[in-house]
Amino acid sequence: MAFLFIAFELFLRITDIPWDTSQNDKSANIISVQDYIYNYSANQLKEDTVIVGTSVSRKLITDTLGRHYINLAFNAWNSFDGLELVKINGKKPSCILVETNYAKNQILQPEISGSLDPVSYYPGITFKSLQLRNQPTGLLIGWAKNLLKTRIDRLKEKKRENVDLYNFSLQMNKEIMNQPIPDSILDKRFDVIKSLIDGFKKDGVHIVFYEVPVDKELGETTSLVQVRSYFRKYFPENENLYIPSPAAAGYVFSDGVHLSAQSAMEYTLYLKSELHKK
Amino acid sequence: MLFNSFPFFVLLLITFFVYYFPVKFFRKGNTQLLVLIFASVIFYGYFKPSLLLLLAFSGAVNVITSYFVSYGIPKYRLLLASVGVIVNLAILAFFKYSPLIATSFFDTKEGIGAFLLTIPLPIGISFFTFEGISLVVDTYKGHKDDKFKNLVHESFSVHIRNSFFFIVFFPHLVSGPILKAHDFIPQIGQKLFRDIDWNYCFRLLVGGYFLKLVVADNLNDFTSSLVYPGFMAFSTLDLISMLMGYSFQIFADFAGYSLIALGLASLFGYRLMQNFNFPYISTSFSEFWRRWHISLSTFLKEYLYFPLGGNRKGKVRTYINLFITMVLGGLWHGAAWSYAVWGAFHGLMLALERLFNDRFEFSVKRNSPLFYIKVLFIFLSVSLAWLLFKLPNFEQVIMYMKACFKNTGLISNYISIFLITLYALPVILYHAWYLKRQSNPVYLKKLEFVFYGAMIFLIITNSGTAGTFIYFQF
Repeated sequence: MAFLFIAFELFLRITDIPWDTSQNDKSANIISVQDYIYNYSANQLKEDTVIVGTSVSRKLITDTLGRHYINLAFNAWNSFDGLELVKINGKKPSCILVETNYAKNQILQPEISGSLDPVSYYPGITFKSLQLRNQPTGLLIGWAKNLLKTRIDRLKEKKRENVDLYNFSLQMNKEIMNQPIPDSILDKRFDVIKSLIDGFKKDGVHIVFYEVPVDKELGETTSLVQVRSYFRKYFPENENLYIPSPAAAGYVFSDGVHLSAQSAMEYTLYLKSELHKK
Repeated sequence: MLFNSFPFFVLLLITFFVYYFPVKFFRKGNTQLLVLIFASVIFYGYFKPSLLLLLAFSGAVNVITSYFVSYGIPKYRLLLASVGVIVNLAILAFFKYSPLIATSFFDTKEGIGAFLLTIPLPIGISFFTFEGISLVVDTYKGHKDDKFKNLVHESFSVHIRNSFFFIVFFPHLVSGPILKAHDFIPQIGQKLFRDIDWNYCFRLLVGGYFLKLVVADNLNDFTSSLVYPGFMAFSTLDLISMLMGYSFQIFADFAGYSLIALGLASLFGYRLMQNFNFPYISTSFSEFWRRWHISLSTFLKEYLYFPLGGNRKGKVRTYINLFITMVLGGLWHGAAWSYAVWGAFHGLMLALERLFNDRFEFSVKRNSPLFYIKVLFIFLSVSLAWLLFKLPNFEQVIMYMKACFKNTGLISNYISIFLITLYALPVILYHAWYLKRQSNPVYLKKLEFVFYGAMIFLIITNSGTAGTFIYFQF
């Protein structure tokens, strides 16, 4: 066992594995968390912009935005988790881009607090073998995904072209997003978000809000409208920087909510140009 | 506390050290028991100390009733034993089945219904109430059967200590194996460090943690997506692979926990009963229940099926007794009608099997093609039934079946399917090894240390994202 562990550790230190080794959405989230807490020093982060949001923002082509962008958007989680992670980590970036599509929980995900727990943090930063991105099965999958990239992209595209499936997903999302969120819950969530953002502003971090476009049939659903108005209530437009959402027409979605690869690139370029203007 | 948490490891180390501390005072049997009881109290009350009140109350009821069943007035023995059993069942019913009663019979927005929904579900309640029942019933049997004599010590204080230890001993407290008083209490006594079977402990602990952390937790990262309405957009192949994955996950999770519990108990000198015996190679439902959650199935047999009459009251009554036992066994797992349906399914299958075996003589040669067909049939049937655990809302089970038939044309997520298969492979190989154990090459035995080394390596480097044990919810 000791031999296996040492050999594996040496292998990881010698090689630089560029593949996506995430095995599912949850592991992708934790890999992002660990990459952020292990690989960025306080000095580095001073020049960086961190993106916080949900899976819709994970689609952004971060490299296209620039060298100093870090994507801390999470599948199934939301902006709150990214903001809380940045706060607890203690190292302040230059700017935070806050996605305003959703405002879900206000209790920190155990995977984030677990990664920051000294019991997992110090061994993780010392031994590469203990980092989730370096799991043996993850490496195997990363290698396979890299080898079969073209085929995988073609399958994703084929899946997206299934009109019945798209309509089903659209309908499902419409039902979910048309359910109103009680004001008492939104008040609690936004009180927490406001306290986080005000804290960052006090430390000199720039905050920019942005909304990722969704299918036009979902753009005015109840919960989306509620969250949009709450962001403007807690962070008025005349006091904060907002990048308006472009019209949904012209964008292609995989399920009504998430941008397709091509549209994700188009939106990223739009976001980049808007950021330069600001 | 979870067995795979840092606070637990600290508690374990301290407890182990104090338990075997080379000072005469600590090595006395009495002191050792108190050390374990104290550690178990910390283990159980770590996240919610208020739960200890319930544990204490339950323990007190069982201690008092069992003592007076043994040493009280003989004509009240049956009454006292009945009171003990009823109080245990009442505790279980109140804390576990209140939500089910509320949603089934009352308006949940106000009044009794709303109140019943607020009742919390204490962890491990299904296990320690059953053990309380075992203690009470076994002491009642003690005056008729020598096997059950001497379970209750004459000294009330010693009896309190032994009984509390039997119920709260931390390896089995929250997820079993369900201990029977007549199996466990005779083991109580002083334990010595030199008597620890390190080989046995090592195999159980490594095997248990591997099944839980590497197999079950990784499979959980995929099967957790099997929720409504999201699964309606998955392909047929995705849906089937996730269900199969869940089947392997529930085995790995529960068998892993049981192995850890056995390993931990043996570190302190106690042998707990084996809880799983390669259940997925069963060729019949009755065999499955002799191999799956053995402590529960033997408990139900001894304390429910036999008192109902077992197979002593004719064939029809036997089938009815089997059915009732399994329905109640199903409900034990959770406060939802889907669990009763699950139990009813198994009860029906057991009864039908019995009916068939009563009428026809049919034997299948081991390792013949028909043998493997039967193994596959039982595995697929049991796996399909697990759907009722994964989707406790029965309507969602129907939607799942519809999606399986409807979504054949959708594109599958082959990466997920591959990973589910990869993580399920250890369970499949584990069962295959057992099936072929007599003809396994000798070198496999010599390479055992390589397998254990690889398991430890994967526990360290390839664990899934931490999840609680599935059976904690029961």
